[in-house]
Amino acid sequence: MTVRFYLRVLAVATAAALTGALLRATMQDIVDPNRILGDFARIFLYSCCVSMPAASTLHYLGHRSAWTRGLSYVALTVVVLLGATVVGCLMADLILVAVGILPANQYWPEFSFAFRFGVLLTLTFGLSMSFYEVVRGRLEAADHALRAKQIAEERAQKLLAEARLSSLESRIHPHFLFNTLNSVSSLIPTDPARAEAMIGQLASLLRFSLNANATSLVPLNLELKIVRDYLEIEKTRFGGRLQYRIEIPPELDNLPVPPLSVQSLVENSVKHVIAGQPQGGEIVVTAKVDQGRVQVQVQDTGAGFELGTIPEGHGLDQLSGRLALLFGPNAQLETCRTTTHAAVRILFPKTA
Amino acid sequence: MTPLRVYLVDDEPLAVDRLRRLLAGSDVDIAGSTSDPETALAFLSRETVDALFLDIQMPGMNGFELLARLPEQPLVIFTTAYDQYALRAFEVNSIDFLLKPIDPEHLQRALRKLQSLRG
Repeated sequence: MTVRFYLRVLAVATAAALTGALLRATMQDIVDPNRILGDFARIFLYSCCVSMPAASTLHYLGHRSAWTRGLSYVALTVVVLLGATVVGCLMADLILVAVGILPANQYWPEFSFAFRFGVLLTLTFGLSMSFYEVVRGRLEAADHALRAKQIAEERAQKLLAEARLSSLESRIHPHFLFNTLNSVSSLIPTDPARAEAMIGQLASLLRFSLNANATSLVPLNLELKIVRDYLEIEKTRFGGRLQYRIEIPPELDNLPVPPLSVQSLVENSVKHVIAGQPQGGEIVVTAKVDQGRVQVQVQDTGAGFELGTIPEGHGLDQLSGRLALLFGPNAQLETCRTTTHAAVRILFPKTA
Repeated sequence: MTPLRVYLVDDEPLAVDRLRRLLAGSDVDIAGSTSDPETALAFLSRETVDALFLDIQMPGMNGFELLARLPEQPLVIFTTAYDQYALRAFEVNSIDFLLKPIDPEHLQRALRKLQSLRG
């Protein structure tokens, strides 16, 4: 930042020297380009000698607290610029004498001329640049504050997403829960054994959901136990309308998967294909590992759907949120169709 | 006083069974019941009942759609597992809103309301 600032100062010093040389040429009717070039070099030396101390001082003061605003800042800038003009002209003359361009006895007359000429240039260019730097500084500060706010907001969003994904309601839909309790009530007098089994399945589903952490993985066989419990409950509710198969090779039993991921897919199928169609349908769960990537697929006999049409907060929207939390861009959710089935797949890297 | 004539619609057969059982002890004549909204539509298009016990979420046709297709609006007692539709239920001819699993006392209260409405 500082290097850039001094480069800007150098650019302004060059512009000031050029202006000075042209001004002098105009006023004194100088047409010889060599003479103008010589003047430019000389004024450039002055403008460097003036601008560097002026810029350093203002830069130093500019970073100090709030009194650098308003009129007091303008007054301070003028004082610094005038001071720097005196110091700079003395210094530049000294250099000119030292290298032998200026005879020693011409030191004071040259200074007096250079100072009067220099004040004009220094105040014009110095004040303009100071003003520019102040505005620039404020814009940068505002931009910085905005970015800090954005980062804080993104963090808050992420925390909120995690909280939302870890709430029980996002895992057990109230409709499902109360309908299941209603089924149990209905079964108690007529089929107490089935009612008891259903309570057990509901309990294991609730326990798993309460324990599931949005940021860790569970073995596939545990996830599938929950999927079976869930499907058995739904089968009791929907009777013959629900058929299902789970076809997973035993060597994938310990494969780490996001908790409730397969369950979310199966639940979506139940909701749309079984609960949504009077004739019901079939759900098939399969999984495989291909080139280090896990692919879990849930097929059903429904019409299928496009992922883009899923509303925010929907089970699959939450699943894709959980996948993003766990794997970033390395996990995908995708849909496809065969002649008889519609499928939803989750793909993510194998972690163990 | 003649018993109330009611009809039950819920896509889950177990839910229909339970409602039937809860109504068994009351002075109610169950004209019929079904787990298929189409069957309900056919029945209610040719017969009149005092009241309809109606589930909201059903495949093919939800409770509100079923009502919209009926030539005559019966009095309705909604039965649902979750109250996200409660507000909408009051836009139609509903007497009460029973949450599943249905509380027998709440059901009796709904039946009394129904009796008093019938006069």
